Amino acid sequence: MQKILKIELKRAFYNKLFLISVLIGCIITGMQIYQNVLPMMEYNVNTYVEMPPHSVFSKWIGAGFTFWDDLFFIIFPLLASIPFADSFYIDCKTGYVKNIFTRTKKSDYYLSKFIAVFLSGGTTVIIPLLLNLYLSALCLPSIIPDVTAGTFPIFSNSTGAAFFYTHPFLYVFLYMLLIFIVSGILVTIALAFSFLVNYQYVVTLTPFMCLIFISFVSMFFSNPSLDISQWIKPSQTTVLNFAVIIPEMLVLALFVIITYFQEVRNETN
Amino acid sequence: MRNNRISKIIKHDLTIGMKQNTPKYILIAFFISLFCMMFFNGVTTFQLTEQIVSKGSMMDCTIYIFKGMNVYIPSVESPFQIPIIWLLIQVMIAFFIVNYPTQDLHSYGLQILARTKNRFLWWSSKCIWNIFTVVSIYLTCFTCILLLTLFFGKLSLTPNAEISLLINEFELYNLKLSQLFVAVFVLPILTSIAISLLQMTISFILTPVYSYMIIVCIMVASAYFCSPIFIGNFSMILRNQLIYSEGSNNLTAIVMNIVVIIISITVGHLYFSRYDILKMS
Repeated sequence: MQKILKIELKRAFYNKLFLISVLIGCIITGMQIYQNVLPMMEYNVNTYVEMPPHSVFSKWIGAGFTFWDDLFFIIFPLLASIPFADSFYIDCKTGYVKNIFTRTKKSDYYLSKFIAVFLSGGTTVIIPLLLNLYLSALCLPSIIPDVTAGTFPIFSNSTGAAFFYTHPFLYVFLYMLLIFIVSGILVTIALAFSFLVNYQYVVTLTPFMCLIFISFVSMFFSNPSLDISQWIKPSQTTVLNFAVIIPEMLVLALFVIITYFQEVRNETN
Repeated sequence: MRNNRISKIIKHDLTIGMKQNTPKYILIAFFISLFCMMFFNGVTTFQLTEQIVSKGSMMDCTIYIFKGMNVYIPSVESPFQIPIIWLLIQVMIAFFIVNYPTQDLHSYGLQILARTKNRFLWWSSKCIWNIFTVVSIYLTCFTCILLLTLFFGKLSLTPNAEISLLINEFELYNLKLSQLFVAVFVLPILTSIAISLLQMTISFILTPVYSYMIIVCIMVASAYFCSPIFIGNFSMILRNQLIYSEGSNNLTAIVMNIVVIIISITVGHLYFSRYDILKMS
């Protein structure tokens, strides 16, 4: 199991598509730095001492209210799926799996594939966000958020607001962990669709289509808490409601587990 | 002989392309029906409170589906909310187009190219397939709207002032019906054709997934910024000059779309004539 997992992880991460995807993410986050963070450096230098300076936590991409963060948090499933989402489909189509199955257990391969796709999807999304946070921290002071400043995106009804205003870095890193998990779950949907669909590019695009479909469902039922592209932003344009999010993610994960692992079970039997 | 070849290639593309997309047509018909039901549900709600007297017309329903969003002014109090109905239609159209051209090139299309010895024929056929697919998607949409309006609304192309204000978020005054007809029924189709041809061209230069991503980025940018550079604005009725004074007028939109169509077809043809097909296979 370890050997095949190592091979799959190497294929997922030592991969031109992974680099391209991370680069596209970094370009988007880099543009946000250029347009929204760098001008704040000048503002901080040139304004009166009495005015509170802008902080990392009010201006990084996760703080929201700019075009680049809206764009990033809509296309992140595409970024996550490009590197490795269609690898299982391609392996089956090209006959590569037959080589694997003669050398190792099928269940080991399927589990390793699942882990590699999950990790590569999450990592592709997190790296540009970490880079953005790091570059913002180079340019702006890491001032503990102040409620009276009125420039921080978290309001009193946001989940973890008290946490944000006392331990902001921990809040940001926990949110990044949430983004990692959500990206990973979304990308594994492509694995499930590899059995259901017969076209490579359709498989790659299913995580994004799933996000759009969930956004539509959230609008249909007038429940903005369901919309992933809204609650996944650290600025919580829609308040993070765990009572809705946990079942939502569980439903998605169950769909993937049932479809993918059921087919795996059929194949191994 | 040449005309015979062209017609055979086009017939093949239309047949196979449509056959592949059949489940997607069913899906889009389902979504349009849902959107129509949402519209008529809204009308019924306002009728109960006597704010609206008449039933919704076909024009009202179509505007509801293709209206997009008002011009966005960034502020902390109003975070950006992409118009999901409009975006869903655009990404589904892009989803229809993404697969077939490149898949055909690396399979049956090779046989066609070897026998016809003419890349321009193959490219032209794909452009015609592309235009036909977009038009057929919109025909599916309008047919669904027509059928549902027959049952739940009023079969008319005249918009209702109360419905326009309460549901479609604009004031109906001094609007010429002919210009509104162009904005509602012609511009969305023409804009989608332009975007789809652009997507198809980019899919050969990069890959289909990157071309899809670029189109999604253009759509998001079109929703965020009200600018003629982002041609998605032309398909949003609320951004038309008839409703928003600084929006694009019909003539400008038509000209810009035709320019994008011509550039996409030309660049695609020039690129494809030098494209190393066997290497990419």
